[in-house]
Amino acid sequence: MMWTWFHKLGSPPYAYRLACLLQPWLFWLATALMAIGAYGGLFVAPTDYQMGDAFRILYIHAPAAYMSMAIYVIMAITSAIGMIWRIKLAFAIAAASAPLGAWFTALALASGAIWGQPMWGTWWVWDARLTSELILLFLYFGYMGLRSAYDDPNQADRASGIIAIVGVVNVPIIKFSVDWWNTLHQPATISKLDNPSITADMLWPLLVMIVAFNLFYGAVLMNRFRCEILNRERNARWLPELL
Amino acid sequence: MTPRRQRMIGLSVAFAGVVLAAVVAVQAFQENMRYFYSPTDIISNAAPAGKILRLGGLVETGSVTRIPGELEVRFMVVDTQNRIEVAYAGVLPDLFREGQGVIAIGELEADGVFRANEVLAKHDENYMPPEVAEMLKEQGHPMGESATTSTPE
Amino acid sequence: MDFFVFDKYAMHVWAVYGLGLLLIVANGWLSRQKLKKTKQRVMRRLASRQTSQPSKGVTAE
Repeated sequence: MMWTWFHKLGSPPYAYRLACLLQPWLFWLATALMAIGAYGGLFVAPTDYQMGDAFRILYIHAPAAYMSMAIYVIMAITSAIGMIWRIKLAFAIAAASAPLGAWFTALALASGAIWGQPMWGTWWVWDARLTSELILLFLYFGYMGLRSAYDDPNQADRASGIIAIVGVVNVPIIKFSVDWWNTLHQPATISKLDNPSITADMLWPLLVMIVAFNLFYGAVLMNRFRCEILNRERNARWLPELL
Repeated sequence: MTPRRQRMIGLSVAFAGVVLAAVVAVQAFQENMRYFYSPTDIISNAAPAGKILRLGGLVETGSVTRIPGELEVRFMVVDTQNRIEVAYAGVLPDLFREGQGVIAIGELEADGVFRANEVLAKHDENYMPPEVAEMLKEQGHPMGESATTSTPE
Repeated sequence: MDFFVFDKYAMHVWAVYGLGLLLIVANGWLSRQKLKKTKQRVMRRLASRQTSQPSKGVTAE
């Protein structure tokens, strides 16, 4: 009985309608929070004692890097669920997540380079953190490339699911690279939530931005998830009712 | 065994194998994963000799000296036990400060001076406004130490 | 307004926020566009199926 909602989610027409319903809420909430976060990050937060105004890049860079890893983990989990329980919609979520994950990874790399150039004195170094994040970008490309090689979504699910599950090994490597090895990149600032290494007036825009990026991912996911459902269920009897 | 259970076990075993392979690979490349060597590594010959390498540590407070009329700057890079003198002629990154982390890329010469071709600044995970840094410094907090020491002229 | 004159890193800051905005706008637009195209394709398919086989609801590819 507890699982009825779960089974309902597994039903494509129900999931499609739910995605329709949620999408505008997610999108507008994300936009509003992003505006607040960007305003806070650009104009309210004080300048950093070491980096001056350049530290404001943090408010884009850190949430993007966080999302790049979180989305990949979601892809791995949903792919595993899809493979074990044979739930097609789980695969649909994984497939719908990949493009935005790749965009976030690219943004994390680009914003990091723009930040590193004046601060570190270089755009790029091959240290463990930067290299493993670049590998993550290639994993996203590999996932999407492999999918596009198949016409049949079920075959694509199975093949690309392997990349998602195997590649997730890279995520803890990215996360802990700064602790396991010495790198040019500094360790995490808010890994310890009770006592983050950042003052409160600098922290809140970062948290707002992280929530906003998550909601934005949700909004884009809802659109792409509907595309996946439409493609997969193009022969379903209930399809005309939805459109 | 239900097919679902079989798939679950199969996937878990395959995943465990991949994790194991990754751990082994990372262990094997441990030496390459390390981006820089500390002064202690270099003095105790843990770093490969006669090669371009990266030296990382803190710039010792008060050690930065410039030769008048020349571009060259010299400073000591320290860790908890050892120190190495670095000579560098070039533009220093903005975050280069006494007491802050730095990575020098170059070679250790016979006279024990590390001649750098490139110097990168490393920054820590702490963010705070200047007033807070000032306050911490007054309280004798170690984090505020480098707060007001800017790049020496 | 000293709001808009950051220190010498202004260019870097604005470049990164610009890229962030680009990502948001591009992905919002791309996902919407893809949904629109997918819907159109599915509708065309349904329409052509109805004209060729008016009696059947489900057909195999």
